[in-house]
Amino acid sequence: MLVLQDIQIGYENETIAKCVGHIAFAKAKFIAIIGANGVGKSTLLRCMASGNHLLEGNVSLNGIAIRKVNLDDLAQQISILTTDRSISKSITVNQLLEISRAPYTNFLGSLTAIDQEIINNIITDFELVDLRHRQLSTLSDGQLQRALIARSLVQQTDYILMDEPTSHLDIHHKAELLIKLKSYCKKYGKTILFSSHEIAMATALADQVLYFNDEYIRFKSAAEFKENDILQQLFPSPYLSWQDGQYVLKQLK
Amino acid sequence: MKVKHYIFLISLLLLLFVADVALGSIYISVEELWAIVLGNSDSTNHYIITQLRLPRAVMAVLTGAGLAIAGMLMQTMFRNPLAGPFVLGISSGAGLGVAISIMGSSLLGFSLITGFGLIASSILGSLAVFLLIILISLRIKDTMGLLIIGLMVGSLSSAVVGILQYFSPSEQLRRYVFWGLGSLGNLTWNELAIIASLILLSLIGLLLIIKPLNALLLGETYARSLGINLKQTRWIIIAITCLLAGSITAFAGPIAFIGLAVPHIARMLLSSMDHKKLIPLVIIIGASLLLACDIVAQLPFSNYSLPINAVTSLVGAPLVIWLIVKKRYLRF
Repeated sequence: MLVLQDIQIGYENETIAKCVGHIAFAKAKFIAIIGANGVGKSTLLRCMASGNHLLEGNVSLNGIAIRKVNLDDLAQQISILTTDRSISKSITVNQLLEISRAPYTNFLGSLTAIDQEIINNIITDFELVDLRHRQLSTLSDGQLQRALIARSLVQQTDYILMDEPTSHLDIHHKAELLIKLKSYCKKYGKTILFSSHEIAMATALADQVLYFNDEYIRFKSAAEFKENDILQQLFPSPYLSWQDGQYVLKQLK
Repeated sequence: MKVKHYIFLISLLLLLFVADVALGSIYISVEELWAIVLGNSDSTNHYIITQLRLPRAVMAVLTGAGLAIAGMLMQTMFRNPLAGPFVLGISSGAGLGVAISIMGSSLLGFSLITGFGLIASSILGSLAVFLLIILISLRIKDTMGLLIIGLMVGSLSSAVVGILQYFSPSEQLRRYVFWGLGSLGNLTWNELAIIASLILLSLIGLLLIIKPLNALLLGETYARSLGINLKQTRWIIIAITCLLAGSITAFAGPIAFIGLAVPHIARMLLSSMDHKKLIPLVIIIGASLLLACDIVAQLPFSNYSLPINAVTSLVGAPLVIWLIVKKRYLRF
């Protein structure tokens, strides 16, 4: 199990967020990470993936501090989707997925029939069949995002940490994607933590919500999160009023 | 790329090798070549072949393959299509090492001109520049900045070389200038053996990082999340690149364009970035291209020859321009 314990995250002694006590992420949960820009959502995801930016406290995976986990084991248990696109655009979607089986292949990276089958299944699930042999440079932003999401799933890890999986997608594709990811969670017993600016959609679909309030990282069930006035505190604005996870634009006088 | 393409490329390599040995200021027929190689002849031609042309052709193969591999490694590591031992100043660093060892003896008070001292100082020079570039690249992520810094480091080392040249006696100066023009010849079989074993060592190291190299195509963050030990991989790449570029540059002089152009040609032919397939192809193309350049440099049937560095630039520069025009841009 992935556990955060009294962590402080940030850069060079400047804490940007912290949590008090334990936060544990159970199996087969779909968890939204909500917070305004710059509160530390991406930093927290990076911290959980590798222990980077951890100033105090502990991030542990199955009882072992994240920095001490063997790199190969870690790669079989946590996969990531980042917003950073410094990926080579000359590889094809298929090659992207093949390389991402690295935690399971031999030193030459040779694929077995099982690896191929896993890749094929993901390609079908994420409607990448037509794009399979296209170079990443020829894809639209949305298609590339879909390929990168497929990449994080092909690694078959217990935990998948996604930084803004819904970015670059149209609104109907956003809904489709989140529903698909949720059913993936339930079907295979994987836990997905995802940050998103689609608050209404994310909180409606998530089982639990991890949110940033005044430097503090808090964790609640989605129902509890929506009941209280939390969203009003997270995104204060004289022009918005929040109700049950949805916002309403106030009439301007 | 199908099997028949590989067979074609390997035959081309063999053909170029034989042509490089047979052609020169005097033509030696293939029948006579056979006789000489089998030891059934001892004429002047025997000396020309075994002591001059065969070592030079072998050096062309080693140099072409080695520089092309070094270029490929740097392009993958920086995910930058313009990276190469030359562009990023690695060759200049090696040149600086050589300049200090040839011309700095009067300043340093001791001489390093022996074969081993030359290789060691060349490798150290390239290592110093490479480490500097890596230190800078940790802070500066963008391509343009890195390339400009590479050029600056290159001109810094040429400035130091210039000062050394100004103060050095004409004998040493001449030696350095000749080194700078590049030459695949004048190597003994012993020296070739040193270079060959260094290249062999690098190839063994290369086997260990095929998977990390492929993972690096996804960028460092993803590579790490795939279980790749970045620090270790980076050091192996540095070690291999400096061994290759340093040892080759020590003997052959600074040879431009091979390291930059060959990996692109290989990727274009292969239409894949998989290093498992890329490495053999880069080796074959690198060796063939430099053999071809060497044949041109010998100006067959004439009494003149051109410096190899001039020929690789004459062939390489238009090649890179053509690649960019054909593919619109060199992307990675």
